[in-house]
Amino acid sequence: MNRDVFLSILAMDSYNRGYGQGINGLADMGSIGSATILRQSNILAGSTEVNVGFYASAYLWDGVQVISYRGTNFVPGSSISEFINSPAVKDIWNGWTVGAGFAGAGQAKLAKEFFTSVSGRSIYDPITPVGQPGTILTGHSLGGGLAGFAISNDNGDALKAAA
Amino acid sequence: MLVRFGDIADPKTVAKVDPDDLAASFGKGVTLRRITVERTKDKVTTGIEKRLGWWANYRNRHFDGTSTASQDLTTDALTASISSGSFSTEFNK
Repeated sequence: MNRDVFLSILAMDSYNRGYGQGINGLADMGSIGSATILRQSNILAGSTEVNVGFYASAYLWDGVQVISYRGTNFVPGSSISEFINSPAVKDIWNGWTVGAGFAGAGQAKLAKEFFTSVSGRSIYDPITPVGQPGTILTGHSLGGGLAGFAISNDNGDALKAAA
Repeated sequence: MLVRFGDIADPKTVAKVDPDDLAASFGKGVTLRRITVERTKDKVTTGIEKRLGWWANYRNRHFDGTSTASQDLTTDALTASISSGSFSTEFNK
């Protein structure tokens, strides 16, 4: 399969796992296509990740780690209260604000932490050591923005983002 | 999910309990006879952290010691997926 197409599939896959997923019933463990599911972000109710609407998943694809950041969930809710606490509002407040230059937004911080937890290195490390595979970041919508945010702190030699 | 600790002082000894087969975990003759559920406007009670001395140490770590920043999905080991926050939504507030 074409590389960009498959990375796009993985970008969408993060919408369908963990919590608040678009498709119910998918196995937590296993694989999607030729990619093995490695890790996911914290999905506990009450956790910082869930409170700010963050979710990410990681895969091993052809020997390379791929991180997929979930984008905006447009679930508005049926009342004002539900709307205020809806995934969409959480994403706007804690994620879209990254695009406005607020690097301290909740989802930006968690995007960095998830990257470090999966790859074992900081996004501020200059490049992947020679001979070691890098980490591919992907994501759709806000997820692509988070991938771009993470890659912006890197020299770009090791990471590629697809939005 | 119901769990038990083989050693209450060691979170790594956590193990699942089958509610339909409590005898497998607690011995012959032990069964779940009744659970009563009632809606209330009372505040959520807390206090389990006082019973488990290691509680605060696993706020941001799974019981296997790994960070809750990400969960290992290549293993079905219970210690790799639960932390103190698994037991109360109030704990992270």
